Amino acid sequence: MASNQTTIDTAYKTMKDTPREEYLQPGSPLCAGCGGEIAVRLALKALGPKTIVVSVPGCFGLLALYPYSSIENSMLFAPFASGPAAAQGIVDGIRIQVEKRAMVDPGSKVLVLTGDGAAYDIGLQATSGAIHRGLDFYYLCYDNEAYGNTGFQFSSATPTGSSTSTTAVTDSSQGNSLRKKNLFEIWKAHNPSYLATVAVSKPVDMLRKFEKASKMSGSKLFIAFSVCPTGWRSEPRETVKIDRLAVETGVWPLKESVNGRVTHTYIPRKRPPVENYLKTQRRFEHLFGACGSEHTLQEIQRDVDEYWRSISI
Amino acid sequence: MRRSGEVKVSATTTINKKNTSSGALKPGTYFMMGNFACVEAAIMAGCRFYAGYPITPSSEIFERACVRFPEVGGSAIEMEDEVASAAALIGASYAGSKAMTATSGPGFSLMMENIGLAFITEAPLVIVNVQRAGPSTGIPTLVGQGDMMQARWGSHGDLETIAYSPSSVQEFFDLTITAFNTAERFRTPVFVMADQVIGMMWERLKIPSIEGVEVLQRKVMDAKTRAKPFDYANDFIPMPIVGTGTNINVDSLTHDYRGYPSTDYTVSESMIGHLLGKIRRHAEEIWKWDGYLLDDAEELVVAYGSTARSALAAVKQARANGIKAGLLRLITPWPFPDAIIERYSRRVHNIVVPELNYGQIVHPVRENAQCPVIGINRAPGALMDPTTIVDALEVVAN
Repeated sequence: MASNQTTIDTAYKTMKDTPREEYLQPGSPLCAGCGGEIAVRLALKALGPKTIVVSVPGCFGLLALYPYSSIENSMLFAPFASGPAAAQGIVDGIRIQVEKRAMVDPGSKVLVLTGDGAAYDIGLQATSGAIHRGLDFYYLCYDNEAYGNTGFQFSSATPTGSSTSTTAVTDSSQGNSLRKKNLFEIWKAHNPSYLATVAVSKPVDMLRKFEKASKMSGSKLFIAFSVCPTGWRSEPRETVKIDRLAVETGVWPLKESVNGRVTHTYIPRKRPPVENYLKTQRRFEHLFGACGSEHTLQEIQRDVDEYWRSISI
Repeated sequence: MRRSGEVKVSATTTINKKNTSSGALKPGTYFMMGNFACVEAAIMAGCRFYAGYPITPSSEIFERACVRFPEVGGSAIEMEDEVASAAALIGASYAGSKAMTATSGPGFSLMMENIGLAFITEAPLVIVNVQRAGPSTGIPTLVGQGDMMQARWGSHGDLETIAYSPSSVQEFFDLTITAFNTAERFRTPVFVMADQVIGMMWERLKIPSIEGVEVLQRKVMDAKTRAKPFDYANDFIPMPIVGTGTNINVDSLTHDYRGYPSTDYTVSESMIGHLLGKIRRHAEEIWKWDGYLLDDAEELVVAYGSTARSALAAVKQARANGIKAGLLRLITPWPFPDAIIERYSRRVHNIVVPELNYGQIVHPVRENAQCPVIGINRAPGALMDPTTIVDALEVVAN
């Protein structure tokens, strides 16, 4: 499963090839250091101006907030559970209008943009239906591992050990005791055309994945690692550094699945201990120090080790 | 301004275990947010199961429940959406636990099907709706009163619902306890229709000693007696609890006295008659209202929730302006206190109904009043300005 990027026919060879055009302008009401914002900015650069965005409740609903509306594309705001279903309507609606010759084919791409709350929890049913129907759309999940917009409550994307406002650290609790849901495998089981994880510290990898997906029809799904300084209680200026640590420690594997075949697009050979990554965020601070939980730390490291062993690189 | 002797309580404040063997907060004076007060009341009322999903402006209830419920031997669990939250309450209720959730408009909409299920299966539970500006996502962080009719008619089919509408942090606390008692007595879902201002406001709260608080427990069916689990001849029937040896079919289909589904018209008639009748026949026992300067009032303001606070200021101002105004504050919008409205409407010239919506509670008021009724309606997103109500009183009085 080694990387074979050198043989890929791509317009994105280095960061210098990043498109200059901006569809997400500065001055949004998002928090300083938002990792998800960088992911959306890059995604829109790759997808271009004819992208129609479907948004749902979550942090990026704020992109519409006038006068801070920073997104240049059209955007439809759908209920929390219904993003991919609303996308179905747009895709089919345009197709019917074009077939009736009531509209010239706009060549548009429909991008569902949600956080992990919608993707992993409340919207999973609608996503399942859309992928199963083979809907020709893009889905970008900015995964900041909790309900960031309502005050950082636990979601099923929250990793083990993280404190959130509903999995607080108390005498009897060391934060979240559950494991992060494996959305990649759940989505993959639906056999979408394209599925990938992305991280903003690897922008070329991310642009190439969007480029590759845009040459395919069907469901094209992305899960973006999204550092959330407000919820993770990390330094806003360290967002990209933390993102890189997640990739290098092996916490966030970069991979893609094309018609069911999984390839890791970057393999962290050295994999420093996960502590290096966890220590950058105060949501994990209770795991360290005199009262820390050695057991939880070992469990997190073991899960990461087990993952990389299981893919037999 | 905090006074001496007041204790400030935040989402993560834990209790002093030495002094509170029951798990409830020590009696005394606290400075507390309405949403936190709601959680403390639920614990005092014996609620030990909370299934939630975060939504502004109710999330503080959930966050505090996640800290407090485990402290008192209870459980607060985060579900994947509001459909799941409401369904979990029904399960917990049939397992014998007092159960609650809190939400706001969009979540309340998603709960509607399960509210109907709780009603037809007679599962006692409490749903708190901290109302915000709608429709749809609306303005999540600002006040609205747009879900009042939804609380009455939101779920499909014939329902009779019970709802309380608090106007202060203290009342949010008191009515949450009352809501649990009413749910237990009537075996039905009960709503606490707060709003963003009441939920997020910090006010003085007096927490009583638990010995002085009336806490009702549902009657439980004795598994050995093989009683009728859905005896439609009686208003208040013991509840079969799963796990106690009661083999019971709890069904969303129209069901007979045994719990078995039926398409027989007489079964439909007796079941619906029972479900509606147990509340309608005892509506007067549920009604709560509060009056201010009603004795000689000529112009009556009927208000509820945070708008009742504006209305109180307006009535005082109108009195100063020489208008004999009075305030009737509806604490139970549902079941609607029709006889109360009729009684007071006979004594006054006009009724004005200020609401942060475009006309909801004004309709049953108009249906029952024997005098002209004028709605004062405002878009949600800001409190009602008392001068708006004073202006209306000036117009109707002259």
